[in-house]
Amino acid sequence: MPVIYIFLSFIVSLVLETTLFNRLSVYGAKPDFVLVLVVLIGVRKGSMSGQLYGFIGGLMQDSLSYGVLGVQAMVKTITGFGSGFLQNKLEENSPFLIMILVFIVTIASGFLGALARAFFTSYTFLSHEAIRIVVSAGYNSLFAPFIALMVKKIYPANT
Amino acid sequence: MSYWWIKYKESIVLIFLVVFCLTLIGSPFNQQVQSVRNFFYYLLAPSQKISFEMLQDNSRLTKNIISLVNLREENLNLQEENYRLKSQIQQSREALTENERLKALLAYKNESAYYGQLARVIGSEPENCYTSIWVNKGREDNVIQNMVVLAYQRGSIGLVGRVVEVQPRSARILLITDQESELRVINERTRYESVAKGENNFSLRLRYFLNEADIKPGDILVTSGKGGIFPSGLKVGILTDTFQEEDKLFKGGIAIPEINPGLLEEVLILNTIKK
Repeated sequence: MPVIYIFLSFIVSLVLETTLFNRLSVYGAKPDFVLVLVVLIGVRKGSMSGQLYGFIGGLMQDSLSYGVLGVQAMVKTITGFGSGFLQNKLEENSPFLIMILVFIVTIASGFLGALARAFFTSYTFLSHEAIRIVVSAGYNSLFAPFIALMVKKIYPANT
Repeated sequence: MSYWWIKYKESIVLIFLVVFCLTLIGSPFNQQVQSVRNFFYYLLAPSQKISFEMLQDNSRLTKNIISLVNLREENLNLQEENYRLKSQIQQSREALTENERLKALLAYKNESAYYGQLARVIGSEPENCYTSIWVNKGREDNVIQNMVVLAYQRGSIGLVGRVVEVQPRSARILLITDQESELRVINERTRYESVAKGENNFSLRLRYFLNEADIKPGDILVTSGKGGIFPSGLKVGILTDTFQEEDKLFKGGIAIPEINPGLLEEVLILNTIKK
């Protein structure tokens, strides 16, 4: 059952990202709920779940982007895997800690994505891209505590 | 084997997934890759359309609530406005005749223009709204790759981008602000050519202006028509900054696009075949 909930959450997140969140766009940056979900699932359920959901979520995101298929899938797989190391190590009830974690992870995955694109495509990293990543990190961290509550509902026991 | 699997299963799966992603990244844009895209897109496209409609309805509902709250005040204003409108009717009659003249001019212009169809923007790229958008017209509406897309904003029509991917009922538009987008432009005032490249934000980087080129901020840039996709004379943007390139061989510049992709709601898709 949680698989269906997470899958539906990915779909809702992507629909929001491609429609409603255009109105929140600052410097082209939008909240990335898929990333937040992947990080929080990783923290809650460990590296295996984190990377598997990261792969699926990233692939879904890639399919809606014009560009090379697989970049977001790879970035989110690694992000989910890395987040899993914090399983049972992070005080999940602290919204502030969650916000900081999501902020840092968004920045790290943003730069990882840029690096992957620069390596595999003709993409050039420009200074405003850094601003976009930071704004996106700010957005993600703001929404993270609410998404964390949702993830807790989906996975009530931290097993 | 089972010992290794139990101890390192996370790492093994990670390596497998990353290798799979790298294979996807390295694979050419073929039918298999496209079918993965299509699968997820078919999954999400209906929700995107419903979400878009809900946004439209929500906007109407909010307007209705606001108008109910302001009803009393509005009533008084309407009485006052009624008198004003009567005097404006005469002016409108004048405008009507002017409109007829303009229509006639437009009809004349249309004789040599391309076919076009209006489309609604139903979504943009998840990461960045300055890269590509989806519209609700596709193969079934005779939309094909490389069709030119225009939009109307702030009183003028400007270039948005071109069709790069077509689905039965939707199409992806690569915006001119995308880093993958390059087009030849011409300075409308002095006719000097340049290449405009997107930067994934609300600006265009201009390259290859000749050193002697007479260019200055405020100059209007239009398509040159030499790239083979965009017809000439479409408004692209306004030059905001000029400078000498580092190699000293050319001048460069920065331009603000005529159309802000972040505010797009409807676009006009031009057929590549003339009427």
